[in-house]
Amino acid sequence: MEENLIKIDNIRKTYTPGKEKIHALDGISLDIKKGEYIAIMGASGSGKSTLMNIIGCLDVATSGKYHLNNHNVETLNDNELARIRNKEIGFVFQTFNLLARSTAIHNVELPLIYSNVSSSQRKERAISALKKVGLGDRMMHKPNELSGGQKQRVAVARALINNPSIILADEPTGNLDSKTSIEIMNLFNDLHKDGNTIIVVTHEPDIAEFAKRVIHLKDGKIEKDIINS
Amino acid sequence: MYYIWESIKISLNIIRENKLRSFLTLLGIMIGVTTIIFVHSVLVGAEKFIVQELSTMGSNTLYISKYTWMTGDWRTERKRKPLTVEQANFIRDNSKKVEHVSPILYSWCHVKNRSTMLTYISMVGTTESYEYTSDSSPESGRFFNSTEAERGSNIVILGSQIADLMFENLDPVGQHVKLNGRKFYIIGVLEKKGEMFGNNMDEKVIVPISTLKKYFGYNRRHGVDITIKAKDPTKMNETIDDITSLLRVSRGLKPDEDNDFSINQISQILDFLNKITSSLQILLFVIGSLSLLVGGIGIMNIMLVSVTQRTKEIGTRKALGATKNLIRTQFVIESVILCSFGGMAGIVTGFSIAALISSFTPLPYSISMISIIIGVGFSTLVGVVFGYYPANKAAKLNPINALRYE
Repeated sequence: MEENLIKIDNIRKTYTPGKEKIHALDGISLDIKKGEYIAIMGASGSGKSTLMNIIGCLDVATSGKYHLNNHNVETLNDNELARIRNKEIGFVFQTFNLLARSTAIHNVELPLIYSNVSSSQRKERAISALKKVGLGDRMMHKPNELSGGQKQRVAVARALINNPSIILADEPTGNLDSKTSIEIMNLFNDLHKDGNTIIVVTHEPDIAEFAKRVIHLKDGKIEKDIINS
Repeated sequence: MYYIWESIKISLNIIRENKLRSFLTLLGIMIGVTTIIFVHSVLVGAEKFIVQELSTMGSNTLYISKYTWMTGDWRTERKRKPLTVEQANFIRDNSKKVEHVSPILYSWCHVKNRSTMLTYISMVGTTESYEYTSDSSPESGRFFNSTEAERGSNIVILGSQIADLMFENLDPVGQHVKLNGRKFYIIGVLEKKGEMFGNNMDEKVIVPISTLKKYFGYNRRHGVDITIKAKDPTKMNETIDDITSLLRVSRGLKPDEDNDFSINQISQILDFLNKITSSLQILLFVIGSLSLLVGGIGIMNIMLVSVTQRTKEIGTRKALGATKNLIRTQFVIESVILCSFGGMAGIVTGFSIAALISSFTPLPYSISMISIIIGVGFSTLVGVVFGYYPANKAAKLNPINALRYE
């Protein structure tokens, strides 16, 4: 049996925006193994964004334990969290979040700049990542010269570049038409076949269909945890 | 360290994309640096110019007069009794610390020979020691001797320009000229001395002091000036004390009376000059600092705008692994680059204005390494100081909120 890549134990996240406390996450425990393909589903306010932020080390839980690839995340400081985000996590966002002024290849290189990789190595790895997502002929294009699907492919290449433990996609098809959405989800399927661990946060059942395991959240708790057949 | 190069490239891109905005922002810095460079360059140039002009006058020379140079109160000093030739002789005969003493009277005259007439030429009446006290050795012929000086002979020494104008290629020594219609025998021609503070030093004639008194008008209330060459340049203060007591005796001053004469030195001019330039330097520093402050506020303002506009980018960079420190560095670098462009532009315009001014004045300008260092240093400093707050604001952004920012 493989060791758990992600081990979440009774995590809570509480906000106090006004007088009353809001429990965004109310005791979540979750194990994810290497190579899994998971969809996290739920209505808005169910806590799925909060859970994704905590898994992505953008935020830390109020209580509970989170281990990611043997790192004890809740004990890490800001700089160590930044390092984990850089090395262990590949983000894919709904709005692509590419640097508008930079070419596709430079966008893909960016995480490597923060892990201090030399220019020639960065270039080599960015080229191979872009080829992997089928954009070998669009490397010198800027985001405004690319279609939505192409932008998201660049973002996926950027997520892959540092060989992260997990690829974390937040509504990756939210800004795409249905045809392009399927293309992107097929790309995720391919990445999964290559052995990547993928977590997709979505509220669309069609998209969740692609995953092998679907976790439903409701009111900060896990409602259902289903293995797709 | 690759992110530093990355930050520089990003900054250059942003400046290129927002040319007008960047230019207006760095204008403040540019004006500040221009002021500093320009004024500094002119001041240094002017100082060099004056020191160079004064270098022809010796440091072991004392100039005694009714008036104090530079700092005197003309209204009270005007009432002093004139100095006399006898007082000059008294110093010469009784001081062991002086080498040469020359009493000097000034007048003017018209100089004429068969072919040429020069009007209002300045005239110096003095004694034989003037050759040494004012470094006026004749290029041809000779200076007059003490007997000639006392007797009041009709002999004259010409400044080099007078000689050139009146005799062209001929040797004037042994010829005659008429000074105000009176016939004078030329015994010598001075070396060319050039200009000092715009005065032509070669356009004058020298006659014995008793001759001047006999035939030409002079300012009796001003009296003579006395130029003295000290024996030992290292003992100037003792020489001054000695001369002071001798002059007090010969002018009949009682012990409780103040000196009614002034002993001047070149160093007085230099001291006065230093006082002026250092107060100008302070003024310059204040003006420069003020415009750099205003420029810095402009930089801070535009950097805050830039941070807000790029909130989402900052969130993305943080998600991709940029630490607070890297984000802060990126924005400080951007601010420093903007400021140093302003600084470099300021250096160029500052020197250009100084060069322009020196092209139609006699003042030289000087491109000094110091002012370049000051210009670059100050603008970089402004970039760091005023860029830090916006950069820190960017660094402290919460990545989740920043990613959600539209």
